[in-house]
Amino acid sequence: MSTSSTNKQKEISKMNNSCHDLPAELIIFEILARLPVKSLFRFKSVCKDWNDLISHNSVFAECHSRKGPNATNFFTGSSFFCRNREYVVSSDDAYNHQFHLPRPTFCHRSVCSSSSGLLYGLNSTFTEVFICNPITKQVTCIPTRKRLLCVALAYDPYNDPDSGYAVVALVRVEDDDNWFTFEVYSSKTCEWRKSNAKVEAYSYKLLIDLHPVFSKGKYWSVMWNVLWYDVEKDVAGLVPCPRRDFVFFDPFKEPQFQDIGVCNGNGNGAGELSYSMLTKDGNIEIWLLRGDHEEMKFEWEKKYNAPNLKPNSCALAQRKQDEDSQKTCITYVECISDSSNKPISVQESIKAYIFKNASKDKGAHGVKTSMSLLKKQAEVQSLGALSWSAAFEKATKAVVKEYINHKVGGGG
Amino acid sequence: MSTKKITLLSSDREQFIVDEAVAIQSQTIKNLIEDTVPDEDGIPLPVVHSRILAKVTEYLTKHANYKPHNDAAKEELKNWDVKFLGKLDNNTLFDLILAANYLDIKGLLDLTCQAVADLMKGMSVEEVRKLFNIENDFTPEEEEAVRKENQWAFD
Repeated sequence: MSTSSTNKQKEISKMNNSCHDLPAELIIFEILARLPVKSLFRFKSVCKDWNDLISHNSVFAECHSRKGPNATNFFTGSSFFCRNREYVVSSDDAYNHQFHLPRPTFCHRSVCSSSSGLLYGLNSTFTEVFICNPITKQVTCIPTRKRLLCVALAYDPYNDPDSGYAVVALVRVEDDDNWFTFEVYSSKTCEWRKSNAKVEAYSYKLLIDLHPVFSKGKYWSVMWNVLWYDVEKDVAGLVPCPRRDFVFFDPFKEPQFQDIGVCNGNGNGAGELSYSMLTKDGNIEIWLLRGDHEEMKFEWEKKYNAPNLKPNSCALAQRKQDEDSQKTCITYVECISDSSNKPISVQESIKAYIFKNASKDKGAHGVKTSMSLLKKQAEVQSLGALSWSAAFEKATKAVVKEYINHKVGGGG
Repeated sequence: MSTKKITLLSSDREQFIVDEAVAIQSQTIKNLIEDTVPDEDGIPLPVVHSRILAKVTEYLTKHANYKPHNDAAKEELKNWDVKFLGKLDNNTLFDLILAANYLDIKGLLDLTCQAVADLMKGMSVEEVRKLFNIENDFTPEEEEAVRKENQWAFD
């Protein structure tokens, strides 16, 4: 790795600030692997070897995914329509909990969600899907054949870095209000195709933007029932929600305290679908969807119950499951208004703030793909994990907070 | 806890006498104790200088007394690690990395490598080249191109 000569080494080791050579192996796998992504990308300019290593080496990328700092966790949430601002909120202090999406590309667009570190969403006329890498700020846009809602990015570099991604949208079967099918865009063919799968879902009749998620090879969306679509097998189905007594607001006006996310961390629930809800007595409940993803047989497991996190705590998702300490984090965001510097209540804040998950592990894994994908202009990739946007007119600051529940498991 | 003493011998033949429990945190030393007939003077560690071995044993002694299930002890140990690192210059830090790697002491390797990574975070490209003694083999045009491609990382 190092190209220095012995003379030069002696010369430099006389200087105060420099050191003799460490073996390349140690520099790469023990030191560089611990750097935040931003520093790493800056140090691509150090020398050719480093540029190649950081850009293309999958062994290094994997190492970075294990050792890399927890610096790129992004949180995602729902937003119906962003009029003024768009934020992505990061848990990393370096980003000051806020990340402004690149402009002007993102004006009047709504971030839907994130998948393995990439943000995606629809433009204001629902005719274009955008995918953004919040780290590199690269953006790619995919035009649609018709207006789309309920779009999710099916992207899982964890399983197969070369598989590319798909964009999945829930669409109504023509001339039938109760039946739904899917439109699928593949990054490999660069084309939209119609799915042959159909699902009868009366509760989706309104077809509002539901901020679906992608996990375990499936597209998931929630509205009374959880609807799934297996992208590869081209089959779809429904799973009833674990409870039906969540606080349901008019989704066109008020936050809807029911959402799905993907459980992250290294615990045994990692990658499973999580369902979070606010009960009528003010508790937050999180359930995990367990079951056989091959046989498509599922059941709910109650994960935990959090006491009322106060109405202005705009909720929630299981973020971290620490196997050693049996500790679980719920990450939520509190919105703060400029003028009063006080938290805004749900009534004052306008939209839904329900968070979807991803993990630092997944995020870091993104490096791996970013290395190969960044070469291709059309593709975007990142190391973050979660994205979040909100359309608040009064809130000017969002603070990421964590509620730590030490008791994992059932309970009343 | 065993009070059996182990003698370690640095590259400049200086003896370090420590408890066995302290010494065997190093996987290499543990293997040497198990697999070799001890030298009269102690276990020879031919690549570790006494200046560095003193630091290593200081670290190992502290960490051997560490109670993993106690939060307060954890915190105290963390503070101790910070102080321990604070006293090191870059040369010693690099020597410690080499020693921790050779002696196979995961905790010390993690600690010292993280310290270097933390040091690097705020560094410029030039400073990193100097730190690791790396020659810039880009042409000015190439370097400019790489920098441009990753402009966001410089903002």
